[in-house]
Amino acid sequence: VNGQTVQALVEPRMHLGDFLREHCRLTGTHLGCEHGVCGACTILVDGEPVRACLAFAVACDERDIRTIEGFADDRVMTALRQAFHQHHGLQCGFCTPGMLITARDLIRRNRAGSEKEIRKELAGNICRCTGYTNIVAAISAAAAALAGGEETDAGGTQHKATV
Amino acid sequence: MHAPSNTGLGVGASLLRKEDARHLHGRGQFVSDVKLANTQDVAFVRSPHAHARIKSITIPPDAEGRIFTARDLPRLAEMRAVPQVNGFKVSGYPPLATQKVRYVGDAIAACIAPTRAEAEDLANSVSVDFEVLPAVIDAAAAITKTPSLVHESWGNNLFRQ
Repeated sequence: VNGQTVQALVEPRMHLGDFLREHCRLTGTHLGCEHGVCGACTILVDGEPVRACLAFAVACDERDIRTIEGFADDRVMTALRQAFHQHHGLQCGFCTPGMLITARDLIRRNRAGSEKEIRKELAGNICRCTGYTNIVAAISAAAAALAGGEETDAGGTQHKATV
Repeated sequence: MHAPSNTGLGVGASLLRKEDARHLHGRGQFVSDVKLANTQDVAFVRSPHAHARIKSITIPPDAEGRIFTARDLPRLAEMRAVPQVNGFKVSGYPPLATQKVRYVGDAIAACIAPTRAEAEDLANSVSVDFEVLPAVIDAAAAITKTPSLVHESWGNNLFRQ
């Protein structure tokens, strides 16, 4: 988990979300719906996005898990965090960890080319605060910043006031 | 009226939030993230029906003191919405259902245990016998056809007379 070897004996029914939150005390992984709909618990298993609430901890033996706490030196995540902050891509923050991990994945897969594409790719992550406009703007800005090297939307006041 | 300036000062200026960093790094502190000694978890038994009369609730004898229904909590007051609108009909909103459930997910019993998993086990041990009633699923039909009354004492389904 986040580069550390974790050993534990768990009940077969314990899902990965509970394991990360309760055993590892990594509470950045949020449990919203607990049936794979809201996306708040999205984490990476061997580099691929997975719903922590739909994966059993025992099924993740020998797997490489990465949670929101494990992206300190990640270039894409750093750009996304900056962009979410600049574009007000979060309010209460509950969906944010899952939103960031999904956003990072879609930038990695080159799926942040247009607003339409970003919205389609984000369909599995529910946000009840922002109305998505600022999240989409943030992902778009992060993708552009990464594509253009150092160029970033440093002013932070350019985002469209179309909410 | 003129457009907000981008000077970063004054009314209308777009300000960056101070609380973002913790949320962006997974360091927020939501209620379920807080662990205090001896904190118990609660799981609710909820209605699978949109409208039903509760005929009986059966709780295993060994779960006494860990499962609570409205009957166990007589001093738990109903919530009441009392807006200052002419003709508004007030209805009780019991935190735990009493005679009826009025929507899917209406809470019926609270089950307390040391962990979430054990609380859910307790919730699964409760059986509720329902008499399923027709549900009101269309606002217009709810008035014209009166298929079923959400609140019997109202005589119809109009919340404002």
